[in-house]
Amino acid sequence: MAVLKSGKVVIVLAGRYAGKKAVVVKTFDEGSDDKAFSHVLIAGIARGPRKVTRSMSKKKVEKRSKCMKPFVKYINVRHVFPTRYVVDMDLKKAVDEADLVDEERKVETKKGLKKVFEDRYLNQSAVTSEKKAAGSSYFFQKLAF
Amino acid sequence: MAPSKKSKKSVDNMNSRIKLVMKSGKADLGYKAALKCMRKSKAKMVLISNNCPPLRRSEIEYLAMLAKTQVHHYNGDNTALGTACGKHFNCSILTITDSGDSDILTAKE
Repeated sequence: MAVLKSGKVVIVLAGRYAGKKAVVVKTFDEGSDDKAFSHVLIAGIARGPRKVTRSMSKKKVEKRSKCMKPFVKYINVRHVFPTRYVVDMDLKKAVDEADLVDEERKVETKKGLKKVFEDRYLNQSAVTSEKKAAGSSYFFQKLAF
Repeated sequence: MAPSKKSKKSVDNMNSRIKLVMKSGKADLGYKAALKCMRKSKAKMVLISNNCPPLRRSEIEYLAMLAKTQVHHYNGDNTALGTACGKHFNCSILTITDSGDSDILTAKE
């Protein structure tokens, strides 16, 4: 029973995305051909949705909620801190490993990811189970430090 | 039994258990090793010295909670824990991966 499982919300500790939250898509416990260390494939939010207040119009709220910049990254397990939250977005469909090799296809993957994140962010009330709802809301909140 | 006597006894108990683990089982010393063991779910128990910096302590406790690893706050500082392990250096965090003949995992004071 590993600590890092796919679907787990994780905090990135090092690199450009340090301090950002991500979801584990796939784990490589024993490393792979080009990386001899245990690492994970994560999909996270580089820049989260903008803050929204009650006085804003519906159109404005929608626009501000959709500004989200996702990222996909292979990252060493040491540079990632797991949390107790789990998110049940179906990221395996959105992130296909073969697409991550080519730069153009990577951009397409990120677009797909953005859509998945947006859907989840806007429909947070649709998530039924309390545990899953807590995970989603935690994921989209910016980590304060 | 006077309270002070009891606490001394339990520390001695702990020390002897640690000694047995060192002899018959497998343990890892150090913060980095602890993180590694917990990540792989190999850690059975983690002992934290009392002068371990609070941020590091909470980090280890959180990871142990995720990995379902027992945490024991050792009643002594890192020098004492190092001595308990039979080493000539300090050790703030001791991870037990295999308890060997010791009953350290089952016996909880």
